[in-house]
Amino acid sequence: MSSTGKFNRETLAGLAFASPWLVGFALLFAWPFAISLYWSFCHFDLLNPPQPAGLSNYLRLWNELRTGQGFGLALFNTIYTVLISVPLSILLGVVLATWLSYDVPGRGLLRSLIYLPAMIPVVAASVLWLWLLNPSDGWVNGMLSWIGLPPQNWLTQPRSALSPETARLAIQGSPEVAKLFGSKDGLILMTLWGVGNYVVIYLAALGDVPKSLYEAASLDGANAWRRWCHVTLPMLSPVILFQLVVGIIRGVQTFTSVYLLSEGTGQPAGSLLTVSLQLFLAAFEDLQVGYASAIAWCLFVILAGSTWLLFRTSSAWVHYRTNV
Amino acid sequence: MMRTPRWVVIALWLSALLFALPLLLMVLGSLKTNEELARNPYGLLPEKWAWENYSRVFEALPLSTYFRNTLLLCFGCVAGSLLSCSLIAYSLARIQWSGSRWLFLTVMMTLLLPWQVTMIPRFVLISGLGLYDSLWAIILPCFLGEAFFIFLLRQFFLAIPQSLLDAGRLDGLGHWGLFWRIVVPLSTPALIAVGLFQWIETWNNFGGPLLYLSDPEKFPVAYGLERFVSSYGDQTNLFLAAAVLITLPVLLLFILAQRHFLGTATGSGIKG
Amino acid sequence: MASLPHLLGLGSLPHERMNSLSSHLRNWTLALSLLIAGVWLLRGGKVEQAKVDSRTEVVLWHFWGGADLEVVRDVVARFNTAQTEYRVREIAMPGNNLRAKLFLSAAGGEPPDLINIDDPVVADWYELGLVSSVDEIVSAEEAEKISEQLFPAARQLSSYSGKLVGICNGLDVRALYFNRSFLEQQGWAVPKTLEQLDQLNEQVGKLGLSQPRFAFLPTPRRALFFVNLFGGTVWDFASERPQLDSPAAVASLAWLQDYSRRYGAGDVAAYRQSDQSLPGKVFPLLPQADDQQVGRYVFSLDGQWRVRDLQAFRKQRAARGLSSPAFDVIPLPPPSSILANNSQEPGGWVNGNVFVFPRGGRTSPGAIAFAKFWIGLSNSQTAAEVAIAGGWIPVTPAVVSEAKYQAALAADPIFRQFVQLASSPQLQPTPVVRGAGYLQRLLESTAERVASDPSLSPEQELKAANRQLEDYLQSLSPSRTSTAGKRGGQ
Repeated sequence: MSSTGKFNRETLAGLAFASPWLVGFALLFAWPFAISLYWSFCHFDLLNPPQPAGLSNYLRLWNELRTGQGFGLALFNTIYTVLISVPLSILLGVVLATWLSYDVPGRGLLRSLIYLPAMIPVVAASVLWLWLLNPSDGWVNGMLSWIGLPPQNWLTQPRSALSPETARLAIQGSPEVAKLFGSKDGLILMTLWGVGNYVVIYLAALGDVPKSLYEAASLDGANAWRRWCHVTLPMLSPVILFQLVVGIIRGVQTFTSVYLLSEGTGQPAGSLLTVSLQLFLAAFEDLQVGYASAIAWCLFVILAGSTWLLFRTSSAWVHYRTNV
Repeated sequence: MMRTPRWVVIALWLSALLFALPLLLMVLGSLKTNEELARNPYGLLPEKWAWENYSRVFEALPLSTYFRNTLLLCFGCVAGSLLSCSLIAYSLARIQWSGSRWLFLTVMMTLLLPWQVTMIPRFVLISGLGLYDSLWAIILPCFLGEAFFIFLLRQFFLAIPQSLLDAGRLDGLGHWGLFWRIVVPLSTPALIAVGLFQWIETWNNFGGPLLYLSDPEKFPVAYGLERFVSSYGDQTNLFLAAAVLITLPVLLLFILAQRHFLGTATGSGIKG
Repeated sequence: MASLPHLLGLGSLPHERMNSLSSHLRNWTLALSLLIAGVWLLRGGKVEQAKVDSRTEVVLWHFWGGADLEVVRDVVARFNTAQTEYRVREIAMPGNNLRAKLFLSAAGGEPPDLINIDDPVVADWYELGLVSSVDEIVSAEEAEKISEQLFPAARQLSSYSGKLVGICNGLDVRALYFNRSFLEQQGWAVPKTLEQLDQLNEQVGKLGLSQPRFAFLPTPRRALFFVNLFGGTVWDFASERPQLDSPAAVASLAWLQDYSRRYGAGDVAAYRQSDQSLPGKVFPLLPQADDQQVGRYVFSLDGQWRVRDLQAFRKQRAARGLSSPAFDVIPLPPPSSILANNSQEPGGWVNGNVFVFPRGGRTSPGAIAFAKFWIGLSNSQTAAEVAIAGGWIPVTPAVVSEAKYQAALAADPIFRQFVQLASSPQLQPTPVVRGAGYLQRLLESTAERVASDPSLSPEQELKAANRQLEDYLQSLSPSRTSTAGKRGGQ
């Protein structure tokens, strides 16, 4: 059934069935995409018409990047949380999936238990973790003390484990380094709790790995660890790449948990002010929509660049199955 | 396959315990008195089972209103998503027309676009349509398609054997007939999965009410809980009870529809 | 069965047998009818919603909670029964959301009719076009009449650019609480100047107690209070320019910094920080243990709401057969230089709650009517009862002079001092100008910086802050009002 000419029946049918998307794409993606770019070159307070303002919003962003305030701080917070939580989630997910792929008694129950936290509504989970991470009587600190580790300040401490300030304190030999984990680390911990989503996908992918590969490897004398490194991981690498990209894109857009854990302000001391929260506050708390749009566009460009980079460098480590 | 090493069994059970513990604590904590929580934070079982916490939550919050609003939202969004995404996926998967590749490209593009870029213009548009402070502000966009679900359904539709569709054509069915009589009934599992995911996403939806709703009569549970937490500063046991209440329905759904999330019990493992 | 992993292309994809069309159609019809029934049933749950009411609705947003919420509801109920034209619906918006929600609702086209705020945003919001001035809703004469009946401080808080933009509904006054019993026990006189107050710190230090370690510790967050106390302002209304580096500001910050210099910045900060970790954020002036008769401080600068804390404390102790110390309150004494120059009442900072009226609300005259009812313009007796119940300071002399209110004050001499202070023209609110919030935050952070590092020069820091403020004001879009020489409410 070949189509000759533009407006034959198939095209009409195709357009008809796709009409919701045509409307949706135009209204909810194309127009917003264009207009937010325009607004980024304006001062716009949402209540009065936008006033053109040239590059001033971008200049402001540039200044804040240099001084580490505002957008600079938000970018640091976002990069910190995403760059730590996503790889950790993938690692944890793959490890758990590998374990779950064994024939363990009660495997179904175990799998459900691990997946369950990912289903909890974010609002309930945030309330729960606000309580668990309480420095004085939360269970996380309780368990840390139980195994002999010092209790941490979690969500009340702006300084986080891998921030420059911690390095400075460590070099000075300050005992405050013992309070290693701060607000962003608490957020990461809560994110890791929801790793069940990743686990399920890796489990299914593991199911696709042909047994013959494992047999060949063990015939060559490889033990379980080497089998994992040289068979499991490479076979999983396409899925890992996919999850990496998806994880980063999703991680950058995390809003609800950050909003709830920081009570809508990015506290303590702006340490939980990620780009998504900063954008929301700049637009609707400070009524600086032009500035907020500039933030959004910077984020988009950075994200697009990172994704492209990720794909470009992936051929080095991603192993696509060619003939099995 | 190979025998399961002992340490794996132990590690798995330990991990599962660590994952489940916070949930257990949430439920048990919701049944304690606030005074007991303050006095003995690391105790497990409540000394006195404070079932009245739940009635107090119902008194403090108009939960029936919140649940009603959430159900309205969920039904609306699920209906919208199922309808629109299946239509669009059909266009992409089973209609051979010149624009389908380009269309698919736009769908995939939106997956890569962070919501930050479009949030404010969307708000201006939707409130410009007069939908501010209305549940329709959240439901209507679902009727216009969602990239992830379109992608999923397209995959599924692609896998339907052409022979079935050809048989339908021979029976004189056009695309509309093919869609409703062959593709949709065959796709029940995928549609259920999409419906479930949309339901959970809507149940969880916080940003939508945050932006678009200001009348407390219209709040759904997730947003209502957040207002509760803001105003009742130190009643931890009540928060936990409220959190349990909004988690229970989702949990129930999960238990009933587990296989749609996790895959079949036997199907996930090294083939052996 | 399809599941997420399978749909993503992982694992093998099972194919279903084609069930009979009729059974599928039946299933779908069943599902759809369940769906419709469900939605219909739920819609029917709106039983008590439709009040057959011809009155126009007035929507009020506020952030009061707990016991205050009951008082608010009481006022609303009284208003609704006192007249038949309007019906007020109050919505509590606690937490950090309120401002963003207001902006969203205004941008969305459905703002509330009136909203209660306590931030210095009246000028900014008026310039934004977010709120109307009162004379845009009711006549200019009526607006003038309202304005005249307010206390000076309340009038200032409500006015911008010579117009009444909001209606102040309650004042927050801060004064110096102190533990009179402890003072008398030590044989010390009640301080009349700031220097005498500072001196008492030395005396307390000599006592060597762990608690109280200080007689009084000023906090940088009240920087504006101290600037006013030192007899100056941070805004020059004549030239319409900021004056963060005015002599009074420099002197007050130097005084603040002196505390850190004398007692160690770290120690001062740590001691003050531990106030926050008291259980239930209790008033630090109160003794904690049962056998103590003095708290963490001998003097504490705080607001009129603490009077209730004092009463509750006394009750609790009496219920257990324990005695409590006698507390009292005086205005924070000014430096001796100021005292010498004028015999007026000492200055200080006052804040308050203000009703503002978003543009685009539907029934704005009703909102004004409610605001007038609240502050007691035509019903001072009701307003007096409300003020007593809520523990608020009224904003009009008429309400204060009501018999009921006078009786309540007579029974509560400490609270009476606050009310007397409230009527003083020497009290200054945060200047009602554009960027007032920015100004206040800038001043406080400068004060904090200077207090935590005695090597910094208050004058230089304030000059830098002033420059920063001027840059900020420059970056704002042009004002829609001409305010040259005009000062709100004078």
